[in-house]
Amino acid sequence: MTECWSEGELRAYCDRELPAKDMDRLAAHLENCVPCRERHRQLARQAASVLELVALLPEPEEVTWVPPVPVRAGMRGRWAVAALALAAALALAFVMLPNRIERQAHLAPPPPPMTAPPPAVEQPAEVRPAVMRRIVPRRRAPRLPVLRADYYLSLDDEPIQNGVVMRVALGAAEVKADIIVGSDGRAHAIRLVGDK
Amino acid sequence: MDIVIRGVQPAEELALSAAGAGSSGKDRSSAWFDAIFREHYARVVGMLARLAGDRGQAEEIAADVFCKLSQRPALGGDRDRVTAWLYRVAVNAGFDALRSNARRRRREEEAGVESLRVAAPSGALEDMLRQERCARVRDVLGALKPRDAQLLLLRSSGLAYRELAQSLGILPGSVGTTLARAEAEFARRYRARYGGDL
Repeated sequence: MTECWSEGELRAYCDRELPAKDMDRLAAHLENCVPCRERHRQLARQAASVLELVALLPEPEEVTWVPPVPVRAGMRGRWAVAALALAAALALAFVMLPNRIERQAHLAPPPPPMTAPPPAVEQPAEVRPAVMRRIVPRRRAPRLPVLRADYYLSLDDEPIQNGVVMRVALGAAEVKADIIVGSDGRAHAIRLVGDK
Repeated sequence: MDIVIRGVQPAEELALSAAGAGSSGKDRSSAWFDAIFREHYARVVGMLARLAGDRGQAEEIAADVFCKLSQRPALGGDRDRVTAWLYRVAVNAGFDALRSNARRRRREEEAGVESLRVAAPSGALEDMLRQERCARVRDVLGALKPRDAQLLLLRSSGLAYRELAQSLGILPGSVGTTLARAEAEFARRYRARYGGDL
């Protein structure tokens, strides 16, 4: 008769977690060793009873949704990324704005309506043809909200109850803007800052 | 509103930092944490849900544990050590939740008995008995060493010995012995509390 096996090996044998070679050797040993066979039987019965009880605890439904990785980044990194995202969004908005709207106008109070009659004869003549050319739409542009210096543009549908106004410089052009940051640390509204 | 500029979520922040790449230690740490999170989050939630009996609470605990892990970059060098730390902390937190829930659960069970006495809908008795058995199992698990309870829960979920060894921070060859002792301790305590056979 070969040497007897340990309790851990007998338990692993119950779960077929021993290497294949050891599984065969232990099986052969159990055929000849009554104490080991009895011990194996006890371990198997105990394991089945305990696992049956523990299995009563309901398994949760499969966790298929994994929430965002809960990394607590430093405030500097957080703001840098937020500013980067806002800069990208604003750059996109600038590119997609209708051509008839002068980009400089975003930084100034809204211009008078185009349909208004030319105010006076002494208006510089060279300005008017330029304006008239811009009236002709070259392409249909999507209707997008216009960022103006005097108004905040809401970035979500949540009401802003309190927050802190932070001034940032966006993009390579360092366009100045005010951002209202809520108590949750996220930007809720933005406005451009005109050069006054 | 045509343009929606949303805030940057942590996952996006992580992705951005990973995309910005380079091979700085911080980026490597983030990538390592991301891998650990995605590999073990669901399993940790499952284990905690079975232990505490509340999926929402389990998710809260798991999120808290992973937050703690993210603040311990020093653990990042050894994956096995991290995994063992993660499950140990999660099980300890789950035990705290289990104990805090015990009183509430007893009240609910008493209320359940009372409602059964008032009106006995079909299946209520089976539900009550099943909940009673689950409460007993949780009580006994709560009386074990956290490591033993963790082992029984994870084994019951079907983890292989290699995975069990990783979650416990022990050698795979020791799992059989540890498991046999944990089962014996569970059986002994169960019989002591509730009598009879298992």
